[in-house]
Amino acid sequence: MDRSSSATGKTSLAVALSLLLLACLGLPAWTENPYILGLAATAFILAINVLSWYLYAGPSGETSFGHSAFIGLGAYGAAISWKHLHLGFLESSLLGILVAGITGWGIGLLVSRLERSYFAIATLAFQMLVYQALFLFPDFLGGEEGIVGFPGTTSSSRFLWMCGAMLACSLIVCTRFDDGRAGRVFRFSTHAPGLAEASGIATNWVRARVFAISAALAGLGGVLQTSYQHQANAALAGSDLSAIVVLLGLAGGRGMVWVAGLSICYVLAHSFVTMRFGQYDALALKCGLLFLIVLQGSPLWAAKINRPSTADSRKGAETGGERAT
Amino acid sequence: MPGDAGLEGLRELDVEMLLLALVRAIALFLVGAGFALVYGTGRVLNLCHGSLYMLGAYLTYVLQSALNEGRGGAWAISLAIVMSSVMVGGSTWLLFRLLAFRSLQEFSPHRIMALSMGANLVLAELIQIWFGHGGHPVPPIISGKTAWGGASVSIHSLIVVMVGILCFAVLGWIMNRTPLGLRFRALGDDHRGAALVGIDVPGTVALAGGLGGALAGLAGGLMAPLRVLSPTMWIGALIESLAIVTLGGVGSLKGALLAASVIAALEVGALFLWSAEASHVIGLLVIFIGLMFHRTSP
Repeated sequence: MDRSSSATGKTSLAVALSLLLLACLGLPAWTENPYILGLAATAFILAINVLSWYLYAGPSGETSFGHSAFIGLGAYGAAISWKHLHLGFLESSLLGILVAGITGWGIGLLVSRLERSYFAIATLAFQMLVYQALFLFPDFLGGEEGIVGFPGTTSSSRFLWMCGAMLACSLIVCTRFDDGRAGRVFRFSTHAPGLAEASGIATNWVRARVFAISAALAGLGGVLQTSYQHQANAALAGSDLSAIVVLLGLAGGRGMVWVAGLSICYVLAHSFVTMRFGQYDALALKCGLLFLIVLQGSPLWAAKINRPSTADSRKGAETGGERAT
Repeated sequence: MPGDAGLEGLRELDVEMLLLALVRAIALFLVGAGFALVYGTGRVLNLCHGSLYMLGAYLTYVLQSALNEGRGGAWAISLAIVMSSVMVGGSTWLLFRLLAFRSLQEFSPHRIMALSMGANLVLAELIQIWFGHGGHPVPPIISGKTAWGGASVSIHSLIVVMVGILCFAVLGWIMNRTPLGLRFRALGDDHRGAALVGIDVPGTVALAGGLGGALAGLAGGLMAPLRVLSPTMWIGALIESLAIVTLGGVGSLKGALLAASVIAALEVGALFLWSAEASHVIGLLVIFIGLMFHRTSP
């Protein structure tokens, strides 16, 4: 293994975790304002969601437009367990994550056979299917309003610590996966499936497994969001959230730490712009994200700014393919 | 006799279902045909197609209000629909000509997909800022209903069906009988090969994009009186377009019409037997299952 690239990856992870620790400890000490603490927690949740998308899409180069389906499944899985099975917060949350993970595994087995546009369409169709299905049984799933009253922590700072801890765990898991043997096998399976199968790797299973982990992490994001807003509603499985996740994943596509960092910046910028510019906030930010993606796709960015890191070159050489994002 | 009355009622229900399915199939075809055309020729998964449909609907609303001060005269609405179709098609052509084809060459396909999806969000935000959440009523070209086979159907729906059949015929003629159609088909086979035989690939893709946009605008304008206008209406149109491409095949008009008919029949069946939400779910299930028979995208 290239020691310098490994060291760079470890350094950026260490810096990210230190900043996260600083935010989790410093923010509650600086202010007790529930809005600010909630905003930071929301930023961490979005970072988990985007990170989970990037876990599959980053190395494989396949764009899943259906990620919010798993966020919604995690949210509804937890809320249903709490409301209809009368389980506690922890058990419901674990069940929600499990529901998202198992569904992700099943869907992963089906969609991992597909490539490029068809993969994108299939995941988008699945997301819309889940979204529409959430309105089918209003007595059970709550219809438009969703399931209200899901428990969360009473203290804002405690919730912030919980989200920070979950984000730190997600970052460590995703980075270790990306740098480890499992990540290399996954890249091999997606970029050279024929060779991988000839080497005895069951590519479909490998992809489905990574898809399941990605879905379970998205489910974790969904559970945390449900706990924050005390409500699981269909917006958590909506197309808007999926599109934002994809845009953030693509715009911050230089690695796990970048993706998480950009997501946090997005939520903070969203809040700032909302206070300053009112209704034009979402428009301005979405335009900004689109501009960032256009810029990243331009030759200028590719030549001057977005030079592949040593780690990327190494991974590319190992897999015989190029990192798509 | 009561038995006869029940049988008559059932027959009316059958005719009503059939008419509804026919209107739905034509609407699906109109939305999806443009998407299939662009995907077939340019290999561009233009996820913004749903927004073009939405723009067509809102432009029709604005233009008919301006032309007729909202009174809903047949000519004003017809003109508004045609104008919105031309405007949406023209701007799509311009966009493809100026930006998108460069992107095609420079950007990876998933970046284009993400950009077009992001464009949906931006356009939806703009619509929301300008028009708000509430529905804006667009009057039909000719209001009123007519009886057909014992069931009543709105005259506007029949106009939609006729325009849809006309579009199918014109598109079929363009694709099979004109040099432009030949270029579209050549691009559908192979871009590099088409360029080698002297076809202007960027220009032809832009034309396909413009034609697809015009069809989406036309569909939006025609369907505006039958649907509630909202900033989220692009989602439904996108689902419908994806369904047509998935099931009907890439760039196939007959396939698009067949796919539209199958999905419409299933959706209307689910609507009568269950609910509107169930009909959407059935449509999406059909797309998802249909996709499992594909392995590699073009």
